Amino acid sequence: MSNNSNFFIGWKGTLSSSDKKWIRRILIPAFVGIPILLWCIVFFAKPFGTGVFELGNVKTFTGVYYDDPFPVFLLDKEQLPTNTSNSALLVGFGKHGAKTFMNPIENSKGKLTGHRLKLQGTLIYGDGKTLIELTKKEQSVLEVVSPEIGIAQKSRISKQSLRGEIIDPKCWFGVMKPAEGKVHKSCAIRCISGGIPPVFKIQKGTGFEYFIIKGSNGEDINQHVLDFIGEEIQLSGEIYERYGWKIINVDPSSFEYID
Amino acid sequence: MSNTYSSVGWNNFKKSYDKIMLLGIGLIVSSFIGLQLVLDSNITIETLIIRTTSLTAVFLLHFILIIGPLSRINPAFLPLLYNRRHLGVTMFVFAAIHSIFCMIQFHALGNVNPIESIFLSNTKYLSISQFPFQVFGFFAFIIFFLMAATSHDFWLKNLSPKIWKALHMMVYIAYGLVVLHIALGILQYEDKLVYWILLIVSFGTVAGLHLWAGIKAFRWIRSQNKFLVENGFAEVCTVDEIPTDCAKTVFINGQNIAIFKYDNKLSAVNNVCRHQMGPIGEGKIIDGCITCPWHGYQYLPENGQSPPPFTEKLETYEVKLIKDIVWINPNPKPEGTFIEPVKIIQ
Repeated sequence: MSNNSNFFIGWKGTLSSSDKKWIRRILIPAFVGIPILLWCIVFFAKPFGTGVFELGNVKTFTGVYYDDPFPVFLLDKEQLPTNTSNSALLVGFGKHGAKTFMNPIENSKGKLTGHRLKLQGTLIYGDGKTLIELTKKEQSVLEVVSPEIGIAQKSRISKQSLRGEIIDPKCWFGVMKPAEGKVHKSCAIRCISGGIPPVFKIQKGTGFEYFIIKGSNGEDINQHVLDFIGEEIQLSGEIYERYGWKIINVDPSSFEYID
Repeated sequence: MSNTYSSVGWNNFKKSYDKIMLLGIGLIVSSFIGLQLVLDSNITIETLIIRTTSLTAVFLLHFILIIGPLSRINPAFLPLLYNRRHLGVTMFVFAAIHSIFCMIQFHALGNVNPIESIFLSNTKYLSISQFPFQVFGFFAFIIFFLMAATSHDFWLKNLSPKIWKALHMMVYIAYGLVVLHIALGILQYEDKLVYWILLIVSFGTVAGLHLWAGIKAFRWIRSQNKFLVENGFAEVCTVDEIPTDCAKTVFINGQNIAIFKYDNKLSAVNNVCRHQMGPIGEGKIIDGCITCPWHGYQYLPENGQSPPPFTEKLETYEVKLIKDIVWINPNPKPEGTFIEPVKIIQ
């Protein structure tokens, strides 16, 4: 109502011409301003990673399975996209580690480490790394093809002090974007708490380097790293390489926050 | 107004209002998705949904919150207020999609249930920068749910306007929680200053407009305590100061009173609408009835009753006219009490 003669009554269902004019004067700038504001929000946002999670595309893979020091599947190369490693870290469905499903499978089929298997799962790949989600849970292993191929040797051990962030590799390499920092902290805590191996991500030039975190004696320390996930920390430990993945053996009591 | 709880009575204005609302929402959604896919198409579909719905809900929430004070500052904004409930429910739908997707994405399929995960995954409750921001979002969502669920006039009637209004005033608590959810969530990840500027400007606009409207109301109340009182009646104004078919509002002895001039007569009623506690005195006499400026609820000026079959009632007050001076007795008569209107002798 611009004046008394234009008193607005909603239930009458009409709007005076001066009210219409007034509403237009408010809404048109708002409608022009919204896309500008949204451009600003999108333009300044951190870029998303290029990782891929082939959600809904369960494939069958052949390769050799090892469960130590982490569940890994050494794939025949032709099954993978280019520029991806054939050493696929195995992770479970949802926020679970692979062992959640591989242990019951081994209970029925016997020990499978070192066996050539045919298994089904969903590919996750990014930054040169490969993971397979055991989407079909306990039905993931289709066939045990042949036993005992051999075990990869450890590389030389070196001691290093690193600065970076603990992430969960399943989300980081393709399932979620963003998959680091405060916004992803709770999800990463759930994933690592559920058995997915914690990975230490450090900045290297314009890219990243990754280390699977294990305890000083090579044991799983998932429950001990939960408080440090998603924050910048410093840690020191022994580094070696196995199945194409770098591993760092650390004592979680030595972790230090970086302000 | 309505005295039944059947489906909403759609009129042309409501239809136009909703069309413009949907157009605005369509603009937000399509602009954001389009810009995101052009500027960084590596986003996942889940993140696209989470961000689109949260941005839309936040836009709507700000719009909803500024309509109230804008209407108090300038009645020209009243048409935006009329159908605000549709905006509120639509905002809730977007907030719900955001919340459900976040809960599935970040908290489901793990080794604890999703609700437990929201509260117990990140337990740094003593840290500001690491505080589990999802908790703020969770409680804001609960409030929005309660508001959306009780938005129908059925609940307004059954809960009573006072309780209903108190419940819906919780939107300010929810807004505070949303601001904290953003400040301690995504703004701890996105490191550009522009996001803080946007949040501070948005919050400042909402807070500033409320403050402005509050100061206006406070000044009005402060100007109301200098009445000459004789024999229980307070001297209010000259009769010419009341525009025809409109009201003069006064605040005496804690009573918020609207004195209406119409058909060469004067009547006084309580200034608070029984529907959503709107300012009756800023309304007008239409078809012989006092008409609330917020949603058009109507009352007869001589007894404060809504015309049958409606049942809302206002307190009424005795008015006297001595020469051209209007006097009011600030002791209210029970709701719906008939008081003979004072005739204005020209």
